[in-house]
Amino acid sequence: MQLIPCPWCGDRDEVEFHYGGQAHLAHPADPDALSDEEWGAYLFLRDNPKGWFTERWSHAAGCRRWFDVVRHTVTHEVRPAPATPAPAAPAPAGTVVAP
Amino acid sequence: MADTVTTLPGASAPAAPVPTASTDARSSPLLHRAEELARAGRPGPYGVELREVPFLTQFNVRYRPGGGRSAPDGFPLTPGLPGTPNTVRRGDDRTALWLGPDEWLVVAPPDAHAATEDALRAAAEAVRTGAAEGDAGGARVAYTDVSAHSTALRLGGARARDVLRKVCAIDLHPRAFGADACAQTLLARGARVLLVADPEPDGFLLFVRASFADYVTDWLLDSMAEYAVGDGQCTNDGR
Repeated sequence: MQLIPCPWCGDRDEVEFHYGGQAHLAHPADPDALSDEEWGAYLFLRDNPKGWFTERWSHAAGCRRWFDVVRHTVTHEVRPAPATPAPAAPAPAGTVVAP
Repeated sequence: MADTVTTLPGASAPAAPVPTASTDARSSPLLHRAEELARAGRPGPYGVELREVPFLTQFNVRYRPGGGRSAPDGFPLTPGLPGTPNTVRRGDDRTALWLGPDEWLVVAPPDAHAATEDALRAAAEAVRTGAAEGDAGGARVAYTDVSAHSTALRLGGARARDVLRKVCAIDLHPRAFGADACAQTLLARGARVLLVADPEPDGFLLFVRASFADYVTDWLLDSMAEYAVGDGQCTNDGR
């Protein structure tokens, strides 16, 4: 059983959660200004590190809140994410912001 | 459905009065299994019993205090809303359960529906007008009648924890799940339940979605079977 640390409910079984993909993705400020290639990159291209990866999870069967964890993609060790960084300046259109 | 959903601010008109249906006309999700539940239990200090607690008054409350605060201490309802995750605050006539950092469930007896709604409307109005303590501005509040969404099962008796342990992954030891604990979790592989410690007498309340009530009951009856047979006393001495 994989335990995931919900910041509200504590460690709970993995089956109670939904996966939300890479964290800290900034929605383009002006999607209409993007080329198809840039929009495709925003929609589909994600980091794929071998190692620690910051990602979104939702405690779907519990408190139903979204939160971040860092997970090691080799060992699947999961830790609470560090405190959410302050919102940065909007990323340039079409860029994928790495954590 | 003005009488079932009331959201403040913005709902200035009072809700329409709830139609007073005859109590006999109501049907609960597990009414057809009441006899089966009564037969399956085993009273006494070493047994376990399961019964439905139908028609409980349930209101979902969303509340975000103003002034940048996060603790719900200022919400003008008796009892107050618990600020600690997965805990319960009990009052004389109603109980408030933590569901999320800005979400609670207020539970009251079936005959307290109108009184609970009146109390919540007054509380929401106080928050909206800034009359509540500390809510100088920016507070948000909404409440919704969810009484028909789920029914409650009461699992009681000395073996209640053992029965639940077979179908529930969270730690139910009294150290981790004490008298004021509640938790939303999955039961029996897929049924989403709200599990609440019900200490007097020792037991648990399970709020189950109506359409899952039969499924959860089947699992619990199966889990109870070994504790509910025979006349001899089971003891914990050898465990």
